[in-house]
Amino acid sequence: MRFGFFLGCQIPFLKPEVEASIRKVMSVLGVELLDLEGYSCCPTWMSVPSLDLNAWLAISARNLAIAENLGVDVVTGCSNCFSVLNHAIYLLKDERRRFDVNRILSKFGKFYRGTSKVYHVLHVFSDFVDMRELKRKIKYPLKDLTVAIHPGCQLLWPTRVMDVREENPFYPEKLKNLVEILGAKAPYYSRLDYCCGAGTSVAYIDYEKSSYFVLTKLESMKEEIDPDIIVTPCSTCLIQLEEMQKRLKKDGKINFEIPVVYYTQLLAICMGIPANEVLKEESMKKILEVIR
Amino acid sequence: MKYVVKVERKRNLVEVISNLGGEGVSKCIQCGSCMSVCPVTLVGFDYPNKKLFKFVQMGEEDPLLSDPSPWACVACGRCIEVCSQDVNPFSVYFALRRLQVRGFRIHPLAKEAVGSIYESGHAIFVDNSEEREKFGLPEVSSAAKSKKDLNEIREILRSSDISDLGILPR
Repeated sequence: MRFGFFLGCQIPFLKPEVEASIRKVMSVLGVELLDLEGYSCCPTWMSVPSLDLNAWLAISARNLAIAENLGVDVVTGCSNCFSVLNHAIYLLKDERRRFDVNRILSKFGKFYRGTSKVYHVLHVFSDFVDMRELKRKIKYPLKDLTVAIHPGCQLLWPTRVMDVREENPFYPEKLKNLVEILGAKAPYYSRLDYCCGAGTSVAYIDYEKSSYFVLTKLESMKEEIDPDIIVTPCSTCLIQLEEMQKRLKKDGKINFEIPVVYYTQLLAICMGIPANEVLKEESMKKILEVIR
Repeated sequence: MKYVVKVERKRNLVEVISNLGGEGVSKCIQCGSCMSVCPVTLVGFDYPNKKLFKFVQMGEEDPLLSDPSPWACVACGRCIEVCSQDVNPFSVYFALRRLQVRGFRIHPLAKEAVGSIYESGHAIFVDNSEEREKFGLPEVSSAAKSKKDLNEIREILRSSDISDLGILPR
């Protein structure tokens, strides 16, 4: 199995440990990841798409054209890239738009055909890899661990632009099943599908409003299931939940802090990959304490 | 006695928004499904989506140009899922951002992000090659290290409407 690996911006530059965990887990499962030479920002919602439609579609199409030339589908670890690229593919099904975009791309010899699909890293485990195969690779299953799952918005909605869908995105199952394979419990809590408040922008426009999301989410988790750890497949949510918990604790709004990990980081540890290769030092101690 | 009634000619905003990517706005029947699931509504911004859509339909431009709510959209896509009239409220929201941008009301963060994409090809860019090496990762194979690819990105930005806004570095 081969995929073009679309890194994006956030994961390689701010969360390299997440990238390391994705690469390691994929190589254990025998999935080949090809680097996309000369890719750029997807571009994220708060940048070009907010300013101009054609420029957005052209930059996204250019990124997709790189994967098309390699003849592979794209997989990305960033929910934001996943959403932006899939929206672009959806809009570029319109012939007139595709013509406009290709007129710009032809200036430097690129062409967008629309043959490559875009998947999230999570979809590789849930839909492409054999479940039994995945189970066999888990050497150290988790025991007596309660996990609060946080799927994040952009992975779930809108289903019409995606190729891998949840049956009911308001009650997502994929992440839950993948966490349960690791041997942990992933019970339902009422704010499971709640936004983390980072999204593209609320966090920058209004801190109070953004912290409201995290606070509601954390209180719901703590009251209802009292989790040991939060697992998410979205790098934006990962950063938001980590940073906001620190700030809320400093402000005295919460008196606990729940460690947060990206799904592949947890998977890598269960596969027996050394923890210092997939976690940053400052968070490693706290996370290992919870898991073991 | 004669009365002269001065009628102000309003722009056809439905058409303007449609051209900016929000084709569905004329189909909105103000049912409020989108508001019921929208995080922006949940935290209480003044004009959540459907109210702004009404202004578009009525041709009232002033509130559309000054309201910050479109910039708070988290792009979660819930509204697209639940809309019964296939308005695609999300794309109308983004069309409203583009309308404000053309009135030179650009959110500073967006300005910064576009500038960064023009300079390095990435919205977020920091040099962390040391840390990447520690995790055994290869160099990022992006436009940031290739002049040719970066020039392609710049060409796209320069040939679009963004070049009229005066935010691209010279």
